[in-house]
Amino acid sequence: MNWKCITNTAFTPLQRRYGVLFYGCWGLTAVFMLLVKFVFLHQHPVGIPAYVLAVVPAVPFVTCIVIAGRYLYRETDEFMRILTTQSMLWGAGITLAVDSTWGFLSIYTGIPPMPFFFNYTIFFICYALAGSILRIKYK
Amino acid sequence: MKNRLKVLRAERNWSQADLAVRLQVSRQSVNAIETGKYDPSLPLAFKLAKIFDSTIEEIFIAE
Repeated sequence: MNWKCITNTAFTPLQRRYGVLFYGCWGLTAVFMLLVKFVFLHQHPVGIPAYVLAVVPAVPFVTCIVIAGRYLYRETDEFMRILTTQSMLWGAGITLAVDSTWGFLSIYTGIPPMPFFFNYTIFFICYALAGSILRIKYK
Repeated sequence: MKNRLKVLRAERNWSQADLAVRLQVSRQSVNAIETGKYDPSLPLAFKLAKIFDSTIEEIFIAE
């Protein structure tokens, strides 16, 4: 499910459909994150609306994970399934490495903690990069 | 694992894409199997054997 799957005819209809859904939700998460930040900065919601609003960006993000899971379940091409799984492992592995390194630095040296949305950004960038590199490798 | 996919394809004058259609997988999958970068699962190996009307042992050679 890398970016080219949306337009490249070499991809199957299943890959294209899930690519559109996956990257659509990815974009939606980014938009929601900015919107929610804007609302909290300027409207200062409190109580239940604040809780509801705070959860909004997580919805498309969780949907992304569900879409990726559904794709892996429905993909009949075992090699493509492995490529997608490897890309996700790269994304998750690098995110954990950066997160834990930054975490220890933050604990022992007093640098500010990593903003939580960095996890999201690092994961998707590494996932997309790994997907592209693996596809070139097996071209 | 070595295999005779390229030879078998050439005998039938099939491209990787032709074989991919018959196998119902992507062309990249065929290329990865053919170049030995990926060893297929048993069901896929059986499918290959059926397509080439031969046995798994005749297609794949253990190193």
